[in-house]
This record gives sequence, C-alpha cells and structure tokens, in this order.
Amino acid sequence: MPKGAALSEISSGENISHFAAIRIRLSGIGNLNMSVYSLDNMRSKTLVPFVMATNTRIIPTRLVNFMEQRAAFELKTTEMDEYFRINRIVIFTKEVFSSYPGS
Amino acid sequence: MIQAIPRVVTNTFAGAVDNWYYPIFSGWGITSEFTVQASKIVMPIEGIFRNLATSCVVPGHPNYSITLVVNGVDTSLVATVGTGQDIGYDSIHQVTVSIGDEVAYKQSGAHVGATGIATCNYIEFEGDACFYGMNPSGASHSVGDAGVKMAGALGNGVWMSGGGITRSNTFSLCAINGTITRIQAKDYTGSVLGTDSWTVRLRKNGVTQDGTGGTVDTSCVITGSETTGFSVFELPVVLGDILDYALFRGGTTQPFVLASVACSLRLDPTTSGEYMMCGGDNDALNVPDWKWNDNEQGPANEQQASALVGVSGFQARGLAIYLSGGIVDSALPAIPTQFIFRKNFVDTAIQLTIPAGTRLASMFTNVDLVNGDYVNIKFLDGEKAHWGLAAKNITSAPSVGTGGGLFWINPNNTHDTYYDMIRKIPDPTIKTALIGE
Repeated sequence: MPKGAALSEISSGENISHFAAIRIRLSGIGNLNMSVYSLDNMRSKTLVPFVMATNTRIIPTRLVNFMEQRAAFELKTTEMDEYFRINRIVIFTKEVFSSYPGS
Repeated sequence: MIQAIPRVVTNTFAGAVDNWYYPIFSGWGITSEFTVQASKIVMPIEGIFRNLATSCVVPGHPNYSITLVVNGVDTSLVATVGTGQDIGYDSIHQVTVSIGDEVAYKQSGAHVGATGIATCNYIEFEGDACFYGMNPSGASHSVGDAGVKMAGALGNGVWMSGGGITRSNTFSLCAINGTITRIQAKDYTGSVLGTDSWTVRLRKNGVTQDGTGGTVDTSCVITGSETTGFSVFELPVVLGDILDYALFRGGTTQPFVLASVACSLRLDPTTSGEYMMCGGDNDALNVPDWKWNDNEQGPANEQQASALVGVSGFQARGLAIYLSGGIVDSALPAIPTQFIFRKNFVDTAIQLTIPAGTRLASMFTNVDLVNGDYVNIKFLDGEKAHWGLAAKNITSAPSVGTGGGLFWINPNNTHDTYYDMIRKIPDPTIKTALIGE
C-alpha cells in the first residue's frame, strides 16, 4: 500500500456479488480517479472519474458493474494541485451466487 | 533520445535587410524570404524541437531574435536577445515536426554592414534517433559522375562540385558507431522532372554506396512527377568513417538554380542516446586557433569561434581527429599535433595528441556541459583537420503540460532536472480492503 494511503475495516463473506455502484461524499479539486480490483488484482476495471468541487450539495454515484467474490476500490488523484476529501463511501452490492460451479 | 545542435554562424546581420534565414546545421544564410528555399532542411525523422538558445558576444551587437521556421511558417519557438543582453532563451515552447517537414532558422535584427558578425545558436531535437541535414545545393548540375555535388553528411557540410573526386572538402568524420537507416530528399527547382532525376547517395570512405561492389544501396531517387523521395537501408558506420552526401543528376543538365535538392539522413546510434557533432577546417590556420562548425575565419578570437550550450546541456564523450587538407590527404606533419576540446575557454580532459605520421586518432573521456557553457575545438599547431565530437544527452527532457507529479529531490542531479524521475512520490491514494458479502 503506498505511503499516505488509508485502510478501511475489512468485511466478511465470499459470495459472488454484483458491485453495482459506488457513492462517495466527496469534495476537492480535480478528478478523482477510481478503479475496482478483484482478489490478487487479477481483474480490474477503471471507472469514470468524479469531477470534484470544493463545495457541492450532490453526493455523486458512479455505476460499477463488477461481479466478483471480493472487490477493492482504489480512489486517487494524479495531477499536481489536485486533492480530495472523502467523508463517506457507500457501495451498492447484491449477492448473486454463493459459489462458482464445482468450487 | 535528445540531440543537441549547437552551431556558430558567421556573417549574420549582413547586407541591407533585417531578416536572415540559415540552416540549423551548417551553411550560411540568405537575406531574403524563406521561399527562396536556400536554408531549408527536410526532416528524415519525426520528433520535437525545444530549448532554443542564441548568443552573440560581439560588442555592440543589435538586439535580435531567432525563430524556428517550419514549412515556411514562424513557430512559437523564439529566442530573443534584448537590450543589454548577450544570450536569449526559449525554454517554454516546443515544436513537433513530421518526416518531410522543412526547418530553418530565421534571425531578425538590424543589419550591421556588408560582412556581418557571428552569432551562435543551440536547439534540441528529441526523436527515436538523431539526424543530420543539408540545405539545398545552389548550382548547376550536369549529368552523372562529372556533375555530382558533394557535402559532408553529418551536419558540417557545404556543397561543392565533386566531379572526379571521391571526398568533399567538408567531409564528416564519424565519432560514434551507428547505423544510417534513411535518406530524405526534396527537389526545390520547381521543375517537373519527367525523365530527369535526382539521386542522393552516401559516400563512405570515398566509396559510393549504391549497391554495387558489395556496398549498401543508399540511393534516394526523385523522378517523374515527384518532388520528394526517401530511401531506407542499413549502412553501418563506425568511429573514423568519412561520410559525404553525393547528389547526382540524371537525364539532362539542370541549369543554375539557387536551390536544387536538400537531403538529410537518420542515424541510429549503437549506444543508445549517442550522437555526434562534426566540423573541420581546410583553410590556413592561426597557431593556435579555435574552431566550431562555421565559425569565422581570420584573426584568432576564441569567444567568437565558440558555440553555446543550452538548457539541457550534453555530455561530450570523446574526440576524433582526421588530419587532412581537404579532398585529398595532405602530407602528415613530422611532429605531434594537439587538439583540445575547450569549455568556457578552458581546456577540458578531452585532449588529443596525434603522433607524428598518424592521420586518424581519437580519445574518449566524459565532460559534462551545462546551460550557458561555451565550447570549441582548439587547434594548437595550425594543422588542418576534420573533427568529430561524440556526445550524449545526460538529462531527461521534461514533458510539457503533463502535470507530472511530485518527485523526491536527487542531490546528485546537477542540471535542470533536480528531481528524480525514478522516485516519484506516490499519488494520493485510498484503497479499500476487499469487500464482499
């Protein structure tokens, strides 16, 4: 994990879930780039970035559409003078299957 | 790779008009519009020009500017020397060029008289390889070998009539190993060739590379309705090789024109990032004398014979010398001869003493040049010689407009790149744990 990154509490369960969307209470300057990763980073998907604002009344939602047993979300900025402040992350998921066939 | 192109140019500000065009490599200018075409070099490679710099150390010189002109249009790459200044820079703008584009310098400033004064310019080119070019030959061209025109191929050439000779008097001396892979040429006569033709070839060590006798066929042909041409091949060159362009006319004689054919070549170095600067002198020399490509002849004046080093600098890696009076080898001196690469008018560690009876010699050691340095080759003993300076870029070119990022400072870096491209401070990142139900 890069220096300066934050670690959230772990969750349990390995049922195959459909990660439908992510909603973030967010403020900042620039673009918040988002990606989602499977176990061991074997699969990933780059999401459409959020364009941040220093003041906003909108808590934006971004569709994810990622089906895995477990998924990790990566949020970052990459350009000079960009920053973000996150107060809340909500991930919308639905359990779809309990396991893979034969496993 | 980044290729630094420092040159001195004599006789600027001459004549009665206030704009001069001249090539970015060797050759002198013309006080007229770009459309006269005598100063254009046609690009054999795509890439980016940046970090233009210019300097004039002659007291009382006028204010002036240097502009990179591409395809007849002034670009945003302009270096200006204002009142009280001797050096001007443009480290902000960069210009992207494609194969076939035509480039030249335009110098703008008040004229000072018939003979003008010397200035020196510096520009950097970033591409996959290095390149060297010749502005158009201005002459009449008879057919075949009798009418061939020749010029040094690696940035120091001046066209001359080459009938009956195998080496020009401005031949280039290779200071590095590499492979020449392309010739690009353009016909500026404005005439439809039809059954006539132009053929540009390389002559290596006096042997025309036309595919016969085991040579590599470097022939670049323009004929019919064409005005441009190119050839691709692999011609290896090594330290000590002598290289000329040879321009042949086919069909019928070309009457005198101010600009006939310009040509250029692409060179892929064996050692990544290496390139060379070449020059030479066949005129009577003072003892000692100081030389760079196209510096003034006459009374020794080291300051006015020196070239400016610009923003990124470069690393001089060694010097090769071929003792010669021109198209044929002159008698070798009976005593050792000395040549020194000088930086800011002081000897560097690149010093070459050629034993009596030896014509070709080289030595290699690294000397770093930084922004604002002046360089020249000192001829200590008055012997005419051609030289090749091996060079390499030693800094990474900054990318303009990428935003970059945050980097740790590397105290060992001594040039403009104070940051360490390898040790980028990580982007601000949050990564959640693996989430599941």
